[in-house]
Amino acid sequence: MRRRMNEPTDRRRVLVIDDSELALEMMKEILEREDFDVRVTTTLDAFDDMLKDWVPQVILTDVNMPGMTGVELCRALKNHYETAHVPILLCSSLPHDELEKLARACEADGFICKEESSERLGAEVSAVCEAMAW
Amino acid sequence: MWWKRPPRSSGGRAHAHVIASAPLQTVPFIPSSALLDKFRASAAERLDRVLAQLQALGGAHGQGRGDATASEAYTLVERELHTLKGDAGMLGFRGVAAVAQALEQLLISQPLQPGDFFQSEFNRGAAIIRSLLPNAPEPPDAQVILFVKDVTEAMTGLDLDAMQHQ
Repeated sequence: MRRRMNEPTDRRRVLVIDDSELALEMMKEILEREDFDVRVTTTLDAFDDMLKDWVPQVILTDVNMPGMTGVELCRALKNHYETAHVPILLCSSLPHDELEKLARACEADGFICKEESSERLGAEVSAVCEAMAW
Repeated sequence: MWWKRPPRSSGGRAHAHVIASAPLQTVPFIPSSALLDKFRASAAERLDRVLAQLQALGGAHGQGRGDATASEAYTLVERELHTLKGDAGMLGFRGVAAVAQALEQLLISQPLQPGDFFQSEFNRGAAIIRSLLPNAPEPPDAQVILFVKDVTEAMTGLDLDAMQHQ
């Protein structure tokens, strides 16, 4: 797995993309509190750049974004051999049922409603990382 | 949330094996006052952009979603409301989130011409959100519940026709 030499190796890595800077700031704060190594971005270009030399253990993506939806992004990542194995969670303010339907349709590994994320995000992402260690 | 069991090694495609979520040890997140202030400022700016965009489209008797040239502008308004709803929900401003969601739904189900009801409800919703922003994060109050009820009722059945012909 590619990783920069100066990167910490023992922290779980999460990449988050959302067009809301405020949402990113909050998710970063929550996940860093859980000792994740968190990278965030609002743009697809920066997202692609980050993936060139840093492979996250979990990717969180918003759904409703300009340029490419989280559903399209998930499909693209799942079809790319270097990211096909990375669990992807959709994170959106869409209603629970609608979000679940989208997550299943694009073969995401899970989803989390933004309204629940302030309490559950850290625990949910930790659970995914623990499941990966099986 | 659900998740699929990830593959044991990289390169393999995960099978759609869905497992139930175990009980999680959740820790309440208390947003800092700086983050709340940032949200308040950002929400007010989003509201300004929404109302300005609708005004630019001609207000109650201007271009509706059916107009091809206006479609992109409505998409931008929809995105602003969606983001406002998400940010508010994450930070616990559930009243703001509920009003933003009602406005988003109103926009999505908007008839070909906006009409007076559409414009007045946007103004009303924006005023409610502005009144809630200075407060601490809180659940929907009576004015929010009434607003959501009014918008929901107006979007059902024949009332859509009434909106269109106002």
